[in-house]
Formats: sequence, structure tokens, C-alpha cells
Amino acid sequence: MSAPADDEAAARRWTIIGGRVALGVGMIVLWEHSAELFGINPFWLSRPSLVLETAIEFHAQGDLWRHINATVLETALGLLSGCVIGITLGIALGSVRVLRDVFEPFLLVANAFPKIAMAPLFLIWFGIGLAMKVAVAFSLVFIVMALSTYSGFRMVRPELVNNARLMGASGTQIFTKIVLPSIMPWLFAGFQVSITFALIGAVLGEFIAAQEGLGFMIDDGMASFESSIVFLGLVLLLIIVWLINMTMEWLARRLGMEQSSATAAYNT
Amino acid sequence: MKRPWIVTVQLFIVVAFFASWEFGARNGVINPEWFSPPAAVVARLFNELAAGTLMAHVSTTTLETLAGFIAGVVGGVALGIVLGLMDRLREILMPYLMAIYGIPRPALAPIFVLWFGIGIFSKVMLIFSLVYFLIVIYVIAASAGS
Repeated sequence: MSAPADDEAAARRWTIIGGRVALGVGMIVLWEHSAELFGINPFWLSRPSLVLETAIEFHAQGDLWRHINATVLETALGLLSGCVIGITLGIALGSVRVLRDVFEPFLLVANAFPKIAMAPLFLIWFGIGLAMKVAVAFSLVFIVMALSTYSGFRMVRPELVNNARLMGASGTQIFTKIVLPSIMPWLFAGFQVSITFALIGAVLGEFIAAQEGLGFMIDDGMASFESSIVFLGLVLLLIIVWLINMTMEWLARRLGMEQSSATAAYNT
Repeated sequence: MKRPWIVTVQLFIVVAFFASWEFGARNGVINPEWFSPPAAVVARLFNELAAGTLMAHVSTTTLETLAGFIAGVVGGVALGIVLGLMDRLREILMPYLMAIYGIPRPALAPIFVLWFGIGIFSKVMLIFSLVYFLIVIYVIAASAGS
């Protein structure tokens, strides 16, 4: 590559990085001074400095990590149970023809159904404790995992399976050498969506009834009209989502997985 | 299995599901307080239809959905096209758009109530926030791919 082209690319990169930093800093400054600049009462919007103060206060009382841990635990349990059941269901539907024919419409209806509307029922069924939040997260995750596993199965190239069978491969060998590698990108894409869905489920469950967690924090801040607490909860959620996305992108690069656009078809 | 058989089995599953639910709730196998039997749900449907409350709820939700959806699509397509054309601006904004896209939007519901009140507007804005960023990101992806 010639030197001028290098310079141009570098200049372009710096414009973009500079623009991003300027935009981020600018938004924080505008938010901080929104009262003076636009006459918005901090009651509505809080301020970054107030949010930070609230964070320090919560931390001093030992509540900050308590809330974060509660939400992370609910998310993790919902994700884990949803993945186990969902993948099992997906494999069953994908590999047994009769099951697929019979249950496909039910699965599609379950996906289209807004499951978060069922959250109040989960309160009656599972109580106000951990189980209810895990159930909400589970209900969102297991459909996504079942559908993505099942969609992956449909993409397995039959000629590969037939060839392997002709060459004398056993059922187990076909599964581990052909089916599993073919459905891996689908599982990965489904998993990526599932993490966010599990988090949404946990937070929604906490909205309905909870004593701890980020959803509880937001709801509680709302109830006492403390927008700083609400924003602290939202900022913490944003950080968690961001960390998850960074990790998943890193993993995707490590494993050589394409970012799938198949993610839009799922419904909370 | 042949098509008619599949449909028969599917119908059987649906009927068996609701029948066992109804039967179980009537005979104390499952608690009707927790799993209200289908017949009671249907009875309630006719009550609310007669009282006119059902249509009020349905039309409110439909109106909120439509208003938020249309506003989100129109606004999202507009910004998506602008950002699809302006490379630098798009690259500057992209991490922020993805960050907002990543926020679990239902978590914003309480703050939207604080900002926009308890009326229809806060619901419309929540739907707008769900639709808008999704559309922006897809329009950008589509215009980048062309």
C-alpha cells in the first residue's frame, strides 16, 4: 500500500475515533448540565454526577453488588435451564421426523406469543422468590434455543449425512462429526440472543415482585421518585449488556463464527 | 406420516390439552385459582364483550401498537437511510446505536412513565423505542449490503 493511502485511512480512523469520543463526552456534559442549559429539572433526568454519587452510596451500604449479583444469578439460571431444555427439545424435533411434523406449528405459535405478558401468571405459579424470575427468563430462552437448534438441523446438508452413512459411519459419528458442527453457528447465534433475553426476563420478573436485583432497584427508585437510582439501574444494565456483547464478539472471532442475522425472528 | 394424520394428531393434542385442563380444574387435580379453566375464560370473554370492556382494552392496545409501530418505522427508515449514505457519521454513531439497541427496553418502562405519564403516550414511546432502533440497524445493514 502506498503512503498517501495509509495516511488517508489513518486520518479517517482518527476522525471516527475522535467523533465517537467527542459524542460520548458531549452527551455526558449535556446531561450533567441539562438543568442549566435546557431548564430540565434533574428530578426527571438526574445527572451523571448524581448517578455516580448514588452508586457510591449503594456501594457503601453493600447494596450495589447485592443487586447486581441477584440479577446475574437469575439471568444465569434462566439461561442455563432454558438452554438445556431448549436444545434438547430442538434436537428431538430436528432428528425425529414425526415430532417435527406434529410440533412445528406449536413451536412457532409459542415463539410469536408475547411471553412477557405471562409474567404476572408466573407470580401466582412460582411465588415472589428466585424461581419466578428464573421462570420468566426460562420462558424467553427455551423457545429461542429450541427454534435455533431446530433451524440448524434443517440446514444440515443431507448429502453429507448420506455420504457418511454410505461410508459406514454410525449414528453417533454422524451426530458428532456432521450434525453438531453444522448446527453450532445456529446454537451460537441463538445463545447470543438468549443472554439478552434472559436478562430481560430477570429484570421483568423483578419488576413484578422482588426484594433485590437491578429491576427491583429501578422499580424502587421509581416508587420513591429518585431518578438517580433509576438511572443507576439502567446504567448498570447497559454495562452488563455491553460486557456480554464484547465477550460474545470476542468469542465469535475466536471460534470463527459469522455474526448471524437470524436473530431478528425471535420474540420476547 | 401423511398430512391428514399430522393434522389429526395436532388437533388431538390441542383438544386433549384444553380438555384435561378443564377436567383437572373441575375435579381439583389442578387449582382453578391458579389455572382458571378454559370454560371460565370463555365465559369471561362473553361477559366482557357484553359489558363493552373487552373492545375498550383491545382497541387501546391496538392503537398503542399501531401508533408506536408507525412512528418507529417512519423515523427508523429516515435515520437508517441518512446513516446508510453518510459513512463517517454512521461509523461514529454505530457503537452508541448498538448500545441503545442492547438495553433491555422493557426496563425503560418505569422511566417512561415518569417522563411521559401514565396515559397512552408512555406506551407509544416505549413501542417506538423498541421499533425505531431495530429498524435503524436493519436499514443500515441493508443499505451497507447493497
